[in-house]
Amino acid sequence: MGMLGYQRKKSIVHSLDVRLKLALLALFMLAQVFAPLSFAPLFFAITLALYSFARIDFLEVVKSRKALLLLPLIPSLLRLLFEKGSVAVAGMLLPAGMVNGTLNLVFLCSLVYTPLLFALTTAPSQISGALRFYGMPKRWAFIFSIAFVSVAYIRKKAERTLAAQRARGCRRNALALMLPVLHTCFRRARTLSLSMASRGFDADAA
Amino acid sequence: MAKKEVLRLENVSFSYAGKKEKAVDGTSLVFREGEFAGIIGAVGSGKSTLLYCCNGLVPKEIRGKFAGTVRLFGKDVAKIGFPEISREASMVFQDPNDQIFNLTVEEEVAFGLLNRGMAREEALAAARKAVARVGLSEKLHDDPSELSAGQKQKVAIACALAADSKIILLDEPVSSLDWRSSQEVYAILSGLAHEGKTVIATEQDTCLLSRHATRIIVIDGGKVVKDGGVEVLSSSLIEKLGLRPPGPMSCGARK
Ligand SMILES: Nc1ncnc2c1ncn2[C@@H]1O[C@H](COP(=O)(O)OP(=O)(O)OP(=O)(O)O)[C@@H](O)[C@H]1O
Ligand SMILES: [Mg+2]
Repeated sequence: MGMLGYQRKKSIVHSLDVRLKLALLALFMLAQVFAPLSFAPLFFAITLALYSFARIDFLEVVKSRKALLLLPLIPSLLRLLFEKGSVAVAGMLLPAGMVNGTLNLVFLCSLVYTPLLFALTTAPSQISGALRFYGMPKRWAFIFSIAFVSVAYIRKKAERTLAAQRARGCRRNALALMLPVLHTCFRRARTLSLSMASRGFDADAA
Repeated sequence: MAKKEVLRLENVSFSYAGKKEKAVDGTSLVFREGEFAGIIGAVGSGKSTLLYCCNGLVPKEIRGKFAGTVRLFGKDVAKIGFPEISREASMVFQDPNDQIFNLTVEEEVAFGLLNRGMAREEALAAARKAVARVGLSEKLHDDPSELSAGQKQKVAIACALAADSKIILLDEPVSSLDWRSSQEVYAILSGLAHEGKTVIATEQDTCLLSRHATRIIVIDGGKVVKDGGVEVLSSSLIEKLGLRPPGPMSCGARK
């Protein structure tokens, strides 16, 4: 699996025109943000359906990116623990923390995993084209799609750095991990831009 | 009869921004058609920097104090842009991980051609040909970031082949390859030189150079200290600089 996990498959979601897909994603995200929290399960169901249309195993995606789950989990947990009062659901009076915490979790999950689905089903090389279609300047569209490609690279590098540090008897240490990873990222960015320049890439040309 | 001159460095000096010492120090060199030049020198002697001077990356993209002139087919590199330079000279970097960013081998190799405005179909066809030449045809549609180090380096070399430029600059092109693949790569480069292209490679491996190069340039402290034929590799200078001379045992006969 490479490229933020872009998975080359044949499905409706994969073959959808990237510009249309990007527009639909934006609409769907907006709808989620502006709809009342009680709609969250509906949106989440749509997200799950989209995953199944794309023939991508949702649980597998969640499992292989555990850190990402913290994003929806932490705020929802806080809400579960600290929200006081109670709300009526189907005639029953339930603690508001529990109800809203759960809804919040569902809401944030579809907010996080829908864009991820976009990433999983769209080749980075197509993304820059779509962004330019919506008027993003070539330079920025390129930076964006390269950043996209580089996520997988950074992840690999982080894994390798961790392994190397374990081999030297290091414990998990954020700084000791960040520094070499950052260093490689800067070096890669630098050489990449040199290499693109030497291959005649002109970011400001139309 | 002297072959046609393709690249000329005149009194080129460069020091990186914020550094006093010169990474390239007063270098003058002339490269001709069909030449396979190996640039050799200890770590930090300025081999890569010299190479970057050849296609204008220094000082256009890499900042610092630059002096001298570089002429590519008679044109001052400082006065032409990369789209034009890249038609004449292509470059392979030391670590292919830092230059590969496309999703398939085919697209990576076609990138330079597409930048020239070549039609997509035509560019992909040229890319396929270049990929076949480095023996990676079966990987054409694979994600290059998932290839082995050696295969990635071959992809980077295919990028230069596809560009079909007269000059190919390579920075330690086989440092991540095994002996067999190194030989293959050097055989390809050798073939290109025979076709009349100019190949300029920095290299630590004196064996490879003794077999394939036609000219050896020895660098020390940013200066050219020796410039001659492959016999330079067997001179005492090589060992004095901490490099390994090509032993007859490890190299085998010159083809
Ligand atoms: N980006 C940079 N910024 C500042 N100084 C640099 C930079 N790159 C190289 N140098 C310095 O310039 C000198 C020449 O470096 P260069 O990379 O050209 O050597 P090299 O012969 O290619 O070495 P190696 O065999 O390790 O690749 C060295 O002293 C190095 O420290
Ligand atoms: Mg170097």
